[in-house]
Amino acid sequence: MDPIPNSTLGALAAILMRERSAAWCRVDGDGVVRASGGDWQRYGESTPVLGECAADSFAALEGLLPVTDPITLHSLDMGAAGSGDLHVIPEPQGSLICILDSSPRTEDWRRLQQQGNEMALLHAELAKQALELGSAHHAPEQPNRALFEYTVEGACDLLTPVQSWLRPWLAGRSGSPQLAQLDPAGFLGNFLVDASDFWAGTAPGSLASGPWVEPGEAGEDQEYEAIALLDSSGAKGLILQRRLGSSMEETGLLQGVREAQLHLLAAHSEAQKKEVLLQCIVHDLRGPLSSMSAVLSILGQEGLAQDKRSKLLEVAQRQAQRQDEMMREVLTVFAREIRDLQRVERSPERAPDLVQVLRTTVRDRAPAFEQSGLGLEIESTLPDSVAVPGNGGRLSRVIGNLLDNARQYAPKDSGVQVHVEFGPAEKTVEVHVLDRGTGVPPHAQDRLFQRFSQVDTEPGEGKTRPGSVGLGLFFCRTSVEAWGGQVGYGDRPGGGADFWFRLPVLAMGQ
Amino acid sequence: MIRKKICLLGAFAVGKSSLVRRFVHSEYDDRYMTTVGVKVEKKECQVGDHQVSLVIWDLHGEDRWQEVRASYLRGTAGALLVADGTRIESLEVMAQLRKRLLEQNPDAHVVTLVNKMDREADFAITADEWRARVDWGPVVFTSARTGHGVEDAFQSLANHW
Repeated sequence: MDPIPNSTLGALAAILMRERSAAWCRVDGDGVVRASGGDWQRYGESTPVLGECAADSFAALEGLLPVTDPITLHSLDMGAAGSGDLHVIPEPQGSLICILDSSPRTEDWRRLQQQGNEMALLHAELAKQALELGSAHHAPEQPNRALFEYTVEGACDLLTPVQSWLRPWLAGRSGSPQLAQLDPAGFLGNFLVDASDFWAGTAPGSLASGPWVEPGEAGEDQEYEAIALLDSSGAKGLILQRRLGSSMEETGLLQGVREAQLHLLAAHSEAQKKEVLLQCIVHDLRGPLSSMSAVLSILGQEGLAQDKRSKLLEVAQRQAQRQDEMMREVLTVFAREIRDLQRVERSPERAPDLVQVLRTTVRDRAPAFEQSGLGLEIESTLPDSVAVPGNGGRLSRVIGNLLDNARQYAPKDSGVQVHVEFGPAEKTVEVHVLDRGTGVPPHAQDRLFQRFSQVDTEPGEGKTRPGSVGLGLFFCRTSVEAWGGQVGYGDRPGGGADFWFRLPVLAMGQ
Repeated sequence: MIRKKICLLGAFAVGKSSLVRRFVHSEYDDRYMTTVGVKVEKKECQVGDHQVSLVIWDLHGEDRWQEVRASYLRGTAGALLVADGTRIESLEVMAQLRKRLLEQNPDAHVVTLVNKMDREADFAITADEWRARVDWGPVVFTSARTGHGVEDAFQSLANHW
């Protein structure tokens, strides 16, 4: 084959590197056209459909159509799904033709993948031509690309001029630089293992390493790519190139699709969170209703003393007010719930008083316990005031949820105890809600505080507590943990359940 | 000096590059920048009375767009498998990559990380559940943002050599 002038190679390379999406063909002096590339494929199909291309299309040219020199076409109908521009680079013995796809892009990613294949083909062709020139002096000058020839001795001789960025990879044989023996733990060393296997084969083509980044000469991140080449004559080459911005489009596209996917996941997660919060509210609204229902039922009894009647009305009124407040909260509940989780009051002056919150919550729940035939008492060794992190309303709901839970499971005529004590060195305080029910079976204990977790009321029969959606204990856990505490369950000695939570003590007083 | 190749493997956007950046350069950047190919870094670790040179391969995240090439895993002496604590689906990707790694490198040492510990309140499942779901070994909880657990994770891998 006659040598191709460097100026022609340079012009072709410039077009290809600028446009990247291209197919090429070469017209030899005898009029034979040889072609390769992928952009004349129809989009959405994995193989070209030659029969559907127009007679004057590139695919028709590929069919060894005699071509007069020079070709002067400047645009080309690429068939139903594409169009392209034809660039002709005249040569003394024939023509180099480059077809640039200018079709609207419908599948960007597919195009990028295709580009990768085309780039490899183009590199292969350029390198092949350079190898055929047989001399580094005639190889195209590309300051960010180096061409090596793989020799029968297993070395890689550099055919292009030595560039400073290449030095870390070169062995120092004066006058005839070679690729050094590289550690396979490094990227290029690892790729050369693949390249050696590829060169040992017989199928012409190319093998691309894919892009990699490692610190350059000045320690800055530098992106590279290597391509192993094998042509039909058995010539073996290696292109090593710096990628200066050429991967930005690919990076940008991947960044875009991945960010979109992250946003989708975040939106999905947020929707789930809101659903849980909504169900938490529904769950909490049932608490005051239960108390009011119990109060009304007791008020209906005859012979009730006036003072007891007054106290019950007071409880009912307080519960009604509480429910009213909660329902008004619904309007802004999502934002508030999220803020509540994040808001932890740690100032002893403003932090909730566990003792007071506990007393009020127990007093409010007492009618419901009474109606269920259950006792409810506090066993406390604490002083009158113990400040803990959190916020009062939420702390009351934590205790209330544990009490509601115990009321549902405790056998009639038994009692529920709320045992409160300091932990070691009075740095923490523990609240235990103890009942004499059947407890929690071992298989259910691990998932007890997860959302939508439900406990069989009758072990083995798959029954769950009526009306429960399994959010009460989940609410307790997320709240207590947000305040730096722990929540847990233990089997109560002698039978029954021991639900507890522990919080740090901020301050205490009489 | 002992020289070992280690890989960071996991789904996209779990924080692999941020972990490497924290470990190698003591830096953190909140912006998400996807990794397209492989980024190779080096760092030396002191292990007892000798030094180990880690050649750290920060591989692009695996998803429908990019698949980790088998050739990238060749010669891997150890790996940090990384999941995002806030994304449960990253567990499955991590498990698949672990399987492929060990098929190719049966003797590779593996340390499993659940990253983004600074966002524990947003975790898809609790830390205990993460421990239970990772059934092949212990889990190290890390945060590239705060640096929590990062040094220990890399060091625990280096300690094998």
